[in-house]
Amino acid sequence: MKPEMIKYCKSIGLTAPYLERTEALYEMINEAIKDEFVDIFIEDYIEQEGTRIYSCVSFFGKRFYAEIEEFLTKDEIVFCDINMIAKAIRVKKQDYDFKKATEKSRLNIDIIFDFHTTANLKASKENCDFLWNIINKYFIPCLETK
Amino acid sequence: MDTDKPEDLNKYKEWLKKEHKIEITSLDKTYYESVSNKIKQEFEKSELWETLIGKLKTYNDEYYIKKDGYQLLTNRESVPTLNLKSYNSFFLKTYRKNVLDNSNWPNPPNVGWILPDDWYLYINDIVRTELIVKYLDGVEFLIEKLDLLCKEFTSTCRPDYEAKEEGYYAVHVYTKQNVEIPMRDWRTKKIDVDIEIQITTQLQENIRKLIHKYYEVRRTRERQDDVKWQWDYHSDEFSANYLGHILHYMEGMIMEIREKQTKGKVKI
Repeated sequence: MKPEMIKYCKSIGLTAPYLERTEALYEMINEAIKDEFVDIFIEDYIEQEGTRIYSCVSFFGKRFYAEIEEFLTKDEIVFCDINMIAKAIRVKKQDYDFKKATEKSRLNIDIIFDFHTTANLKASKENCDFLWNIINKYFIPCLETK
Repeated sequence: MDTDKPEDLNKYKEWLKKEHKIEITSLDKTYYESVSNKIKQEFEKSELWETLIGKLKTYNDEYYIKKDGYQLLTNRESVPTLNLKSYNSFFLKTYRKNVLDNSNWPNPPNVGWILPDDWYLYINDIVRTELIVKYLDGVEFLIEKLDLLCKEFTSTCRPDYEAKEEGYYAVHVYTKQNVEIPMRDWRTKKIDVDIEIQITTQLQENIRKLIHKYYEVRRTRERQDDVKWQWDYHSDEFSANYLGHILHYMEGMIMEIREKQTKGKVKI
């Protein structure tokens, strides 16, 4: 995995076993599809009793993005066209100013595509900044081209 | 020699004075607090403790992947704390060891009389902590991790599997800490004391709070066989203790079902 991806994983609190698993998945998708996966996003949320759950990993390439739900225990990969056009983006936020995330920050984003398909992405704490970067890089430009 | 067992703590103090020329005063409490605090501070600074705190999340995550998405700890983010045994509880324990649980009475217990000069060596839970796991197999998982950790820091690791008649189930893992403690004359000496790491399940932790109340009362008195709690179904003790046993059984059943589900799971 690229050094900046490892740095990201560590910055959102991934421990060695989780990082190892993420790296294995990255190698796997690179084998499966010939693309250059340059960005990563790991969806996370905080359970009521405080446990941080890492629920889904997405790798963004030039042509595709790969999404693996429950990536820590499952090998179920969805490959999507990176150029899928977003029709609308719904942002639900808590203690987040789109500049600098805090411990209390939460971000919940629905992306509505053509054909009534949607994607939901969640982030907490420092991960909100990474999610918003991903949205800006891959989905906001689609809205502009409309 | 007085062969009658002291019936309560006041009689125990009288016995200490008469048989061992030891008078327990408020100074003993102050001295105990100074020593126990020193033990806690030393262990808190130890590499073993710092590494354990740092690695708990990793243990949780390793278990999560290995066990198909089940969490090891009740709260992955929480950091355990070290707790001190109160002086009253400590003194009571010396009474139990010297008198109530001493099968050699009126002779000393097998380790000898536990007296103020070195009684810190014989009470193994002056400093303790608690790790709470979600499932029964998490207990064994953590014991293995603790064992490896202790080996890494060339410390001892002795698990004691507690299964009490009163429905108390937990594993107490003991490791040693070398501490320089103050003596009464202000000199110091180095001793090896046990640190207790209790590992229990979330369900047992809940029931323990209920059981503990009765356990505290019972351990201050001599056991009388004609009033067995197992037959006194009106008593709170009856309900709380049997609940402890039932929960332990249920936790075993939960594990069995979980393991069956994991084995039978169709991955693709």
